[in-house]
Amino acid sequence: MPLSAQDDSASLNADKLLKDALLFSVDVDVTSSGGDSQLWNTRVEKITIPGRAVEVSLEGDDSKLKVNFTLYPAEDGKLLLVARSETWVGGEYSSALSSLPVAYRDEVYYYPLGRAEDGDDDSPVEVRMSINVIPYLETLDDAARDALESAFNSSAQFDLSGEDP
Amino acid sequence: MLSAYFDNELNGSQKESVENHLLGCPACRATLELFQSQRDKMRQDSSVFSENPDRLNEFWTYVGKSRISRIHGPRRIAVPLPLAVAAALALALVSILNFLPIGGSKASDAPVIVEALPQTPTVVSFTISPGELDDFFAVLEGTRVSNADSIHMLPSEFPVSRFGDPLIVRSDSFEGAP
Repeated sequence: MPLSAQDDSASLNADKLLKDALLFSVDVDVTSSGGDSQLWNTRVEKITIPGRAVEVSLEGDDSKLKVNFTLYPAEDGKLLLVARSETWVGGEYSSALSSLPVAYRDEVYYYPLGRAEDGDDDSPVEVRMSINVIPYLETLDDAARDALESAFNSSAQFDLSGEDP
Repeated sequence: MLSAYFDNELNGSQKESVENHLLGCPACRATLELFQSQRDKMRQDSSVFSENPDRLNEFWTYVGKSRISRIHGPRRIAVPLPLAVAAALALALVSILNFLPIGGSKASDAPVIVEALPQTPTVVSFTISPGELDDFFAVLEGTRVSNADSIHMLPSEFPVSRFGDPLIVRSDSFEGAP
């Protein structure tokens, strides 16, 4: 039996996986109502592929936010960003599903708790997630890219057969 | 013939023939009993007719017309009302179904919305287990600062509140975006 036939069924083509890999970054900002000033922030970066969710979880004294972002292939080279959120604020649970067609490098804002009204000084802080999607290989400089591609070149495939080499 | 028998208008052989028939026909016997009950009722209500000669004339006119229609009129088939209604409904249903697009020839005339959809969906598929995929990305993420799997603690001095439904929007289409 030719070796290539076995590889097709039991191995992963790392080169193809790298080409589909995406760098999914989320900047979480807690701002004063109206977004005037940033009070707190954190950054989440994850490498994923279309269809594989990235989870962002936040916890406060009286709140918990859990958001799953998933990208799906769409037409015209675009991606469909689907955000599934589960939030507990003051003991109240809420879930929602939102989606938006996006292109690479589009900056997308996601407000899991909605937006505060402008000029509402009495409102507590606002949570905003800034999302950015870039093909993973494009985030690497030439040297890093060459090194990675040489390490995972098309002839080097993951053996998933479970047998020791 | 039965009405004439009831009115004693038949000759001997005809009367004997009808009586022989009545021995084996419960329906005709019931009809005769109905005739008799009507006659008894008329006798009981004779005072009504005697006081209202016009109604008596109307009655005999009705009887005469009924008698003539039995003798000369077309034969009628007595159908119970519920059965007649059910038959009419069934006929209407069959007529309606005849115009509905049921079956291959009718369905082909309907617009096919599926034709407007893309011919083939865009998919990403690999032969890989979830654990292997996670390991692969963990290797790639090894050189990056990534704490995506952890839970981020919000500062307690900034209590959050729910303003409304979640909102997702592209930043360049958002007024007041930085």
